[in-house]
Amino acid sequence: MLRRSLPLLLTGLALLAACGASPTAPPVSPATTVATSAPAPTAPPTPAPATAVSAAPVTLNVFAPAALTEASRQLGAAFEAANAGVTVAFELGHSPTQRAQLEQGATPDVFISASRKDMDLAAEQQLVVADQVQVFARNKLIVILPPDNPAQIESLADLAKPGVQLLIGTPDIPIGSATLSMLDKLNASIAPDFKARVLANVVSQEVGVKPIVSKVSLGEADAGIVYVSDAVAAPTLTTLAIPDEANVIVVFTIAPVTAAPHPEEAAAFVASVLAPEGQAVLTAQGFLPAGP
Amino acid sequence: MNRAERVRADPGPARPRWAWVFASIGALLVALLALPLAVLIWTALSNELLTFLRDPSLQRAISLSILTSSISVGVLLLLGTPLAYVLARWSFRGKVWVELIIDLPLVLPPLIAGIALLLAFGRNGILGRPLDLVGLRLPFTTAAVVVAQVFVAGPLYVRTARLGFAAVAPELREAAAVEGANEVQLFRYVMVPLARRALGSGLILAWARAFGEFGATIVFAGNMEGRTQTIPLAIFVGFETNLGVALGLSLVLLVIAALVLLLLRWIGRGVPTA
Repeated sequence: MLRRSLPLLLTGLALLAACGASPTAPPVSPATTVATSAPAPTAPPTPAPATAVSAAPVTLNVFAPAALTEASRQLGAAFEAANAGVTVAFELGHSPTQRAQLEQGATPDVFISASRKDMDLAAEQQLVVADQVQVFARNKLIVILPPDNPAQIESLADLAKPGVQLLIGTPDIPIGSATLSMLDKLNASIAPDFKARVLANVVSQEVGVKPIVSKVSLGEADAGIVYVSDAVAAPTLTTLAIPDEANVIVVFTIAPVTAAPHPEEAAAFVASVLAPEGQAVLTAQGFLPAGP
Repeated sequence: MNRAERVRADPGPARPRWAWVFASIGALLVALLALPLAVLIWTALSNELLTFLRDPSLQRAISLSILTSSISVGVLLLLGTPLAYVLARWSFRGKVWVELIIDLPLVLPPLIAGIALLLAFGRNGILGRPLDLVGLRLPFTTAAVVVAQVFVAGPLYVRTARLGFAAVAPELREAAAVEGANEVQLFRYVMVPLARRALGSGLILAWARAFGEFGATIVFAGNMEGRTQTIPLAIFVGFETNLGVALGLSLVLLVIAALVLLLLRWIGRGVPTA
């Protein structure tokens, strides 16, 4: 009897296992989880000039937020061109997830965070070199609309019109919490119930910036709130600027990882992002320069 | 039973030693499957599990999951049973293509299913545009969660139900025809009762798959508490900030999955397999 139902059971097990997997949060390798509390001792990483890089082939692993998708390609290519033998590999994900992965023993060389909170937590736990955490770019929010603007949104006040389908980030990720602070500020200037009415129009709290851009590009939502750099990366979209006094500045930070396998290259990469060439790449992508 | 006992009563001379070789290799796989789950359960239990489970937003996720997967299974029962019956009883042109389409969601990453559904049923989609004209919008609604679940869980039910119908002995069908039963009576009084275990197993499998659906849902239905945020979505969001929430919900999902498999085992006695 067992023999007869076994294949059915196995199919069931396999399928149940398959559906639990989440596509964007790769599990941390269990083999590396032991290193959480004691980061491997490394030579104190000294800020090295961009040229002090060894000759042996090196793959520099960088954890970065998805907001950096376009800029990362150019930053990586520029660093590779300046440093023969070095390959820069970006792992793009959510800052809180990547910080959790660092906690669980992941050892990239550089950590770039879209949220100050996650970088500070990582520095507190000495997962990144605390005194080398630096702001390298800033970003602010913008409203994106499908090219044909189906809900005829002409001003920020229109976001509160009944029936507008709005996408924002879940409050758990940097873009989502920044959006809520921005709505708080607009509440003061537009109408006391503005935030509540806008939030009533939210049809989904997306788990990343890029899904918001994709779904608005497809015309599935009437509007979305994303970073300016995301709008620059999707030029077909219509945008609606948010005035500076209501906007929220999101600070992007970078730091070498304490247990980085390649500390010298890590420091050189950080320096290259802060150098004028790196800054130029970022400004071209819609980021604000590091300094206020 | 008889055959199983005969096999057991006939030990070859080298059996114990070889059994150990197979068993030790097999044990590696069992360990790979069991250890992470055991750690998950242990960690979840050592967290303040009960406080998390009393959280109203988690309760909303749990009830939404139960509601949507039950509706999905209802839809499958209505639409999938006739389909399984057709596939089990008759051959027709293009049957192989129908079978291929039904099986595709089994191997397709659910994310692709979500994108496909969004393109088809979205406001600008082939099916979505006419729906939009009559004021129906599917994306970002609870109905979209159900559609995503039906899409990914459908094959499990149709396949199992089909095997159940196909296993009914042709003599019984012929006997019913001789007695004067028409097609509807045959279906109602002979085929469905005889295939009921397979139908039940298929429904349970599909329910469990729908219950765990993530990829298609998050793309097609989005993530909105109380409307489209099912347990797997709440786990994913929770993993970013509140690991306790993710662990608690994972435990809920795991317990339900285990119960479903036990139930399946009990119902599945005597279900024919390919």
